Amino acid sequence: MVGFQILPLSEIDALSGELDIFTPMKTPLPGLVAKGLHVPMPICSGMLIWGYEILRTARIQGVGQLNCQFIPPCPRHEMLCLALKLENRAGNFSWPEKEQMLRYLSASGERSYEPVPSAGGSLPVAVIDLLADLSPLVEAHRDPQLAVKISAFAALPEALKDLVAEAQIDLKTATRVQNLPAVIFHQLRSSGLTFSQRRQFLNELFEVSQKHNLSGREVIAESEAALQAERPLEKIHRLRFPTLTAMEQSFASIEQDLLRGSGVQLKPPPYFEGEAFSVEFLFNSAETFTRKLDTLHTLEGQLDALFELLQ
Amino acid sequence: MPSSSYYSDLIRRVYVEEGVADSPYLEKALGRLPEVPVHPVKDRGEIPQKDLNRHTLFAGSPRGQTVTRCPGSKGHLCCNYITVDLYLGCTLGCGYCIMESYLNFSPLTVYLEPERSIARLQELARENPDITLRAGTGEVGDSLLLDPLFGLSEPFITGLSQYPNVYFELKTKTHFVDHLLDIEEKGNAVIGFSLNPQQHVEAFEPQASRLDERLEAARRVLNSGYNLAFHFDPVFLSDNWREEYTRLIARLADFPADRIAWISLGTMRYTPALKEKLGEQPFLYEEFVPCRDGKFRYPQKIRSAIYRTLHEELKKHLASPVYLCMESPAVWRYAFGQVPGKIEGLGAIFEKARSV
Repeated sequence: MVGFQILPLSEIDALSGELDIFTPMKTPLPGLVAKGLHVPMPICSGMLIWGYEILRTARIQGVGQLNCQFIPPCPRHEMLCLALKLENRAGNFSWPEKEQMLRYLSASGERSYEPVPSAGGSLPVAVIDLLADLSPLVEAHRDPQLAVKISAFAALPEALKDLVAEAQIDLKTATRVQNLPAVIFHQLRSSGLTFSQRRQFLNELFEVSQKHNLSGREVIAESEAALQAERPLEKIHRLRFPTLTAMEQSFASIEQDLLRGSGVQLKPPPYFEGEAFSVEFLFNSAETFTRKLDTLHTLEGQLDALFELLQ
Repeated sequence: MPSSSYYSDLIRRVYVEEGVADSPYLEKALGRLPEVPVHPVKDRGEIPQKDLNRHTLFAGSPRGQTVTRCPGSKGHLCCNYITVDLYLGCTLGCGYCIMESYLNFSPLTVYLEPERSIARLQELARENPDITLRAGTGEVGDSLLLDPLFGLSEPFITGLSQYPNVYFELKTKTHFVDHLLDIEEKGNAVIGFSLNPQQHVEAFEPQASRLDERLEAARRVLNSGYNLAFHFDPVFLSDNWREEYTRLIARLADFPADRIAWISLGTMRYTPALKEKLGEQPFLYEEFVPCRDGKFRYPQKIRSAIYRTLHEELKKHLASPVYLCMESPAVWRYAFGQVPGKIEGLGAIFEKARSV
């Protein structure tokens, strides 16, 4: 059967709903659905390809029939391709939606090629290729790694999946830190950190845990302590970069003791890489110039401590 | 010498560029790889995509210069080493290797026309009679990994043996030296061994030779008349780095200092691109800071302490020249008290040859 038809909802409900994979973004205007003013819903080989949101609206409104378009039999990936074109949201699909796409394609039975290992197990090459081909409709650009990325998302622990799905952290960071205890991801949700701060926090916490081979309990304790601190990122950063932060503190302490309020700025070389410190001050009279020089003289007694920071 | 099966595990296929099909070096190598399929190609562009990996060996001739000066690193002192492209790429797969990021092709490559490079080095030797020229093939590949197959180092050693100002170095993490021992005209040839404590070899250089094997090989080449070099690069920071490296250095004590041409030190460093490729390596969890050349290194204070300690330990046992690879003038001063140009014995090593 091919061509346009008006079908009762009961017949549409009997079709396969495998492609009901999209999160509702825009609800069709009820008045228009009732008048039959909607995109015809494509049907192929007993499957409703697209239009589930129209169907739900019709049910709520008690509309009895909808416009449908029967199309000739085609491979499953072409049905998904059509659904993506009608959804028309390239670049705006959520990770759970993408996971559904992968699941749909993986159920296609196209496993005749060598599987490729990925974070979520092995992926058939056919699925990798199909998703690469569909990626412009999903991501708005071609991404040969799309299937591998979705598979990595699918393999994440639930708490992390939620954070990624809500765009609270990126997939790359989530994949890297997924073995941290799940409670940390829950703590982070209510932390008030920004996207980039969460990312830095998790990466540095992960690196600290790896370097010191911390147990799950120890990592949780470090995370809790940091998140309860006034500046969580600084606290984690101190653990991750103890030498550098100790040098920064020593320097700040010398600067505070000797130069606070003087208007003289002392600067170390970036990351304490180099041989020279610099000083900077403004003066507008012989008197202020002399005062600044007097301040600088007080530094002389601390020069050894300063240079100690470099060598 | 590694067995034929070692190489046939390493090399699954050979692509030969049409200009070098008659090379005697190729004939020698293929004689030891009887089971490995050989495909003639016009150039490397004809290698199918599926074979662009490290189990493929491409034998060809170079397109451009093969003898160039080490490019150095912004804000860091370079020893002006002359690099010779001969074996490009490496299968040792060391967990920190910079080649992972800057050799943007996969097959192992061998350039089968050594005569061009040798002639260029001879020319440089004549143009710089007052300067010590240090040159080597170990910059973009291991000098000796494939050398027992191809024997390309021999013509370099003999061809440069008559030039007293040339120190030609073969730098390696292997112990594959036996094919070099009977070469008669060695001149100032140097066999350089990259060294690390055995636990780091196991962790980060699993395909390379064990430390003991390298030191035994060093003894063999020394006894056969070669000069030696030792490279502590990369030095890894760990909780026990002092003890680990002190023990390793003590094992060099009975090598004669006057036969060790140089010893280099360099701590672990990486570019951001390399870090992406390295993945989760435990040494990356140490503290690193960005330096002027864009590479990440341990903080200066830590590097200086490492170099001071290693230098002191080396001085206890060996009076050979020691230098830092790609370090800033500040670190030179803090570790050695001076920059290389003002340190006795290092001036010659750092001297820049003309017209390279």
